[in-house]
Amino acid sequence: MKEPSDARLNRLLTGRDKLSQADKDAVLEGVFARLPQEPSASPGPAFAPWLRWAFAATALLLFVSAGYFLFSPSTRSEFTSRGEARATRAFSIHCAQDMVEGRCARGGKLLFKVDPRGARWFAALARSESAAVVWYFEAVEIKDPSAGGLLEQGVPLGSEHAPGHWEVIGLFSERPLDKARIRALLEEGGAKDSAGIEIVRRPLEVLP
Amino acid sequence: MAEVYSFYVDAVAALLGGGCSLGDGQRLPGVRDAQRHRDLLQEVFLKAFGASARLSYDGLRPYRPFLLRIARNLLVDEARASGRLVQLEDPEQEIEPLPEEVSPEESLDWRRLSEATREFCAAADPKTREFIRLRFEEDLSQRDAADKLNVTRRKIRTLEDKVRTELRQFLQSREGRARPNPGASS
Repeated sequence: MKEPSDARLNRLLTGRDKLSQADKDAVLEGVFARLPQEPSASPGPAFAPWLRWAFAATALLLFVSAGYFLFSPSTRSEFTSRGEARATRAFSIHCAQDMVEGRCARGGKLLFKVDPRGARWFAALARSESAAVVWYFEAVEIKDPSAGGLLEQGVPLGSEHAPGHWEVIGLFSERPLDKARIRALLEEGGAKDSAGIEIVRRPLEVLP
Repeated sequence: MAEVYSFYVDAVAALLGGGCSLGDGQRLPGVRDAQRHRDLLQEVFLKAFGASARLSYDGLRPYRPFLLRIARNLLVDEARASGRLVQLEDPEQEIEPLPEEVSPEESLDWRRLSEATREFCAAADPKTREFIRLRFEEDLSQRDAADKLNVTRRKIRTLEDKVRTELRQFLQSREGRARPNPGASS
């Protein structure tokens, strides 16, 4: 008898001669394990080992210095927030066709994944390098997002999205915001923490 | 990517298992070997999620035909590797998976092994039986099975490996008993 493969045994254990969940999991793990790194994560130009150590040492020194200046008693009283620390709200944007994050071709559809951390409403717009603005939504209720945080509302990338680099701006809030309020907030250059508003920015590359 | 995979995996698996029509009345057969089927499935998603495919995908075409085309091309390669001449009349034609064709021998083999597997499961200890029921019969994901059994996902992987190893040994020993080595009796 030919030795039964893992896939064959999985099917026998499910009692159905079909792809089992165990196989699906194994295939996905195999895909992730074998996918090459993203271009952005590819190694940069090769440096000599001593130079790499020098870079690492410099980075460490800068990190420690920054920590000292930020948290030393003399600066703490001036600039440190005295409010209660709050977990950071976040969102990510994905192309519906392949779920690639932050990059989508014109004509595709943009999906939003949100991590509201107590926020109830979400608004989003995009701004291009040439300062063109496209409004996505003013007030979407996100108190109980679907599993995985994916919003039902997708944004088709139409002709108003010129190919190039955009910035998608998301606003989390406890009350719905209108365009005027959002504009004012963005012109002020930051969110009013007391109103429970948090602004998060994400890069988007629109492909032709 | 995991969500895209979960959404399309069954359609791609169906095509790889059942094959498809070639448009000239001929059938491009699917892959019957479970392991080969799984390997090809992995190959499809590796190609689809690879950097070059993702960059060349325009985001406009529906994704299902894109994936099915990759799967169909792998089946064509598979058929050609086994010496079969396959002509694609229209490489862009719509692809629809065909139902799987199971030969009487395969069906008989499946019934025999299924019966042995049921025997194996019935003889397993209660914890292992519960694991088999959740992970395999109910087809739960590793995470859901781990939650139900109150163990880690690592433990689920270990249990899977253990169950498969024991089942493999059980089937082989059973087969050995059913077909004694003719040379052994002399």
